[in-house]
Amino acid sequence: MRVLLLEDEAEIGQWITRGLTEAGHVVDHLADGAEALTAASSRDYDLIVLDRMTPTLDGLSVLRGIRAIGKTTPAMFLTALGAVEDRVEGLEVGADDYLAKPFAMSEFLARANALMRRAQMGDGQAELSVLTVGPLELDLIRRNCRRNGQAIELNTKEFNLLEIMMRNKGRVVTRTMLLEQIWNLNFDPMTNVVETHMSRLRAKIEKPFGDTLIRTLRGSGYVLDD
Amino acid sequence: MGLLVAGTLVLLGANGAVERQLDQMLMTRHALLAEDLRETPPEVIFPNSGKIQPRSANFEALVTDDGTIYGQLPTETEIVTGLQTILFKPRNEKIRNEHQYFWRAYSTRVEDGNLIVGTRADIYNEAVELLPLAFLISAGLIILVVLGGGLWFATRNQARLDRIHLALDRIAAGDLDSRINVTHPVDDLDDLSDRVDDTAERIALLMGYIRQSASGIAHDLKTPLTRLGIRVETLADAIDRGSDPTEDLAAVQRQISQMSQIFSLLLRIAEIERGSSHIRMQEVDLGALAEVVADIYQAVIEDEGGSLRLELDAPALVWGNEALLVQALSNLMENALRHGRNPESQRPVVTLSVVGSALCVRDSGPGIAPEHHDEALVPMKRLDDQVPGYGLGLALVNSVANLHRARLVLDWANCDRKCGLSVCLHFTSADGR
Repeated sequence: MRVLLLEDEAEIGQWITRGLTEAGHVVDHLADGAEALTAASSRDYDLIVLDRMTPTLDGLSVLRGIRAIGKTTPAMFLTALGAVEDRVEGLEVGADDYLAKPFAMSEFLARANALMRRAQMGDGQAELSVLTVGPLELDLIRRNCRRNGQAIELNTKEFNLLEIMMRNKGRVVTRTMLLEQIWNLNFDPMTNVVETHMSRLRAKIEKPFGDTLIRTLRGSGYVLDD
Repeated sequence: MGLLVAGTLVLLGANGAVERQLDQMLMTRHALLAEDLRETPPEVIFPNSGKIQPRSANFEALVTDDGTIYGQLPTETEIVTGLQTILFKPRNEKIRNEHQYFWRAYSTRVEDGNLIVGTRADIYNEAVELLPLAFLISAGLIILVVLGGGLWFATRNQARLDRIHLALDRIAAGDLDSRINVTHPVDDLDDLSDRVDDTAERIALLMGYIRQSASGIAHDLKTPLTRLGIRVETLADAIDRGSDPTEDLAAVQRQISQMSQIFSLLLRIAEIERGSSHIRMQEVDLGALAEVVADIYQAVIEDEGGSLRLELDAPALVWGNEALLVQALSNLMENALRHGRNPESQRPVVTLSVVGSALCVRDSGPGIAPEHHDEALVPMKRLDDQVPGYGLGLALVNSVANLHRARLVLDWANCDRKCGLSVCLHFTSADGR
C-alpha cells in the first residue's frame, strides 16, 4: 500500500516511516503542507496521514483541499491537539480517524491497517450479515453467536466486542480502539474496563472449549487469530 | 439652559392662565348683577353712586340709556362692550406707579342700559410679577440641590472608583488577595466591584492551581522519571548480557504511558479551564448519561466484588458537553473504585443517581472530612498516597463543573456514621430551572 505522510518533525516522521515500511507499505514522507496537497492531488494513495500543524499549509487545510477535488482517500490525523473539539473539527473536515500524540506504533499501525482495509472493501460492497472466524460464527442480523454450532449467550457489549475482533481477524485491535468504538470514550479510564469485558467474553467463547482464540499483546492490544 | 427655557414657557402659560381666571371672575360678577337688576331697582343695588377712589379694588356701575350712572365708575372715557383694560389717571395727582391706575373691566348691555364691572389690573399684575420671582427662587434651590447632590455623588463615586483602581493595581502587581469587599451592594458600581472581586478570586484560584500543578508535576514526575532511568539502565544491562529485554521494555513503556497520561489529564484540565468558547454545548439527558457510565463500570465493579446501583429520578435535561460530562462522571466512578471500598469488606459499593438536576456518585469508603474538601479539588493534590493515582480526578470534575456553571458539592455519603464520599454536580436544567 502507498501512504502519504505529512509530518514536519523529522524524527517522528522517520519513526512512522520506518514503522509503516516494516509493515510492508511504501511511504512518501513530506514536511510541507503545500507540497503534501500537490502530491495528494497528483497521485492516488491508499492512506493519507497528516499532522495538524505544518509549515505553509496546516493539516486541516490540506485535507480540505484534498476533499475539495473529490478524493476520498482514507485520511488520519496524527497530532498533539487531542481535545474532543479538535477531533470533531478534524473529522468534520473529512478525516476518517484521529490519533493524539504521543501514541504507540502498534496503535498507529492497527488504525492505519483498519482504514486501508475498510477502503479496500469498497463502499459499494454488501455488508456481511454473518461473520465467520475459525470455529466462531456471529450472525449480525439475528444477533447470536455460535462456536462449532453451539449457541453462546452474549450480552450487547460482549457481542460488539467480538464483532470488532472478528472484523479485524488476524490484526491487532488496541485498547484505545475498543474504548472508542464500543464505549465512545475518547479518554483512557485508568481502570480495566476493556480487560473486564474481554475477560467475560473469553470466559464464554474460550473457557468452555478449553482453548484460546483471542491473544493478548501486552501494551498493544488483542488479536483474534484466523 | 433647559431650566430657563422651561421656566419661560411655564411663565407664559401662567400669565395667560391668571388673565383668563380674572376675566372669568369679572364675567361671573357681571352675570350675578344683571340677574339682580332684573328684580331689583338700580337705586337699591347701587346706593352710593359716583366716582370711586383710585385705591378701591373693584367697581360696578349701570349707565342707563339717558346717561344716568348708578354705582361707581373710575373713568369718564367711553365704555365699550366686552372685556377691556381702562386707564384711569386722576387729574392733578402725581402718579408714581402707572400700573396702579389700570382697570380691567367687562361691560354688556342689560335691559336699561350698559352694566359694567371692573377690578384693578395691578392685582393681576402683582400676581403675574410674583411668578418669575417664585420661579427664580425655585430654580435657584433646584440648582443648589443638584449641584450639592452631584458634588456629593461625584466625590463618593470617585472614592469608590479609587478603591477599585487600587485593588486592580494591587492585583496587577501580584497581590492576588487584594479585594474591594463591598458589604451591601446597592448599585452598578457595587456590582462592578463584586465582579472585580470574583475575577480576582478566580485568578487567585487559577494561579493556585498553576503553582500547585507545577510543583505537583515536578514532584510526581520525579518518581516515574527515576523509575524510567532505572529501567533503561537495567534494559541496557540486559542487552549487554544478552538476556531477554522484553520485561524491561514493557516496564519502560508502562512508565512512559503513565507520564503521558498525567500530561493528557493536565492538558484536558487546561483546555476546560481555557473556557467554553471552543467547547460545543447541547442538551444532555443526565439519566441517559448516567446509564452510559453505569454500563461501562457495572462489570468492572462486579469483578471487584462490589455493586453498582443506578437511581434515576424524572428525566433531567441540562445544557452541556456530553463527552466532558461522561469523562467527569467516569472520573468519579474511578475514584469510587479506588478510594470507595468498604473498610470492612474491602468491596466498593457505589450508587450513581440523578435527582432533579443533580448527578451524584456515592461510595462506601472512608470519605473526605469537610476540612479537606477544598484540598481534594486542587490538581495533583493527593489526600491518600497509599492508593495509586495522580490527584487529577476531582480537579477535572471541578473544571467540568465550573465550565457548566454547576455546583460541585462534596459530603459524607452516610452523614450519621461520617463515612463514604458523596460527590454531586448540581446543574441548572436546560429550561433554566
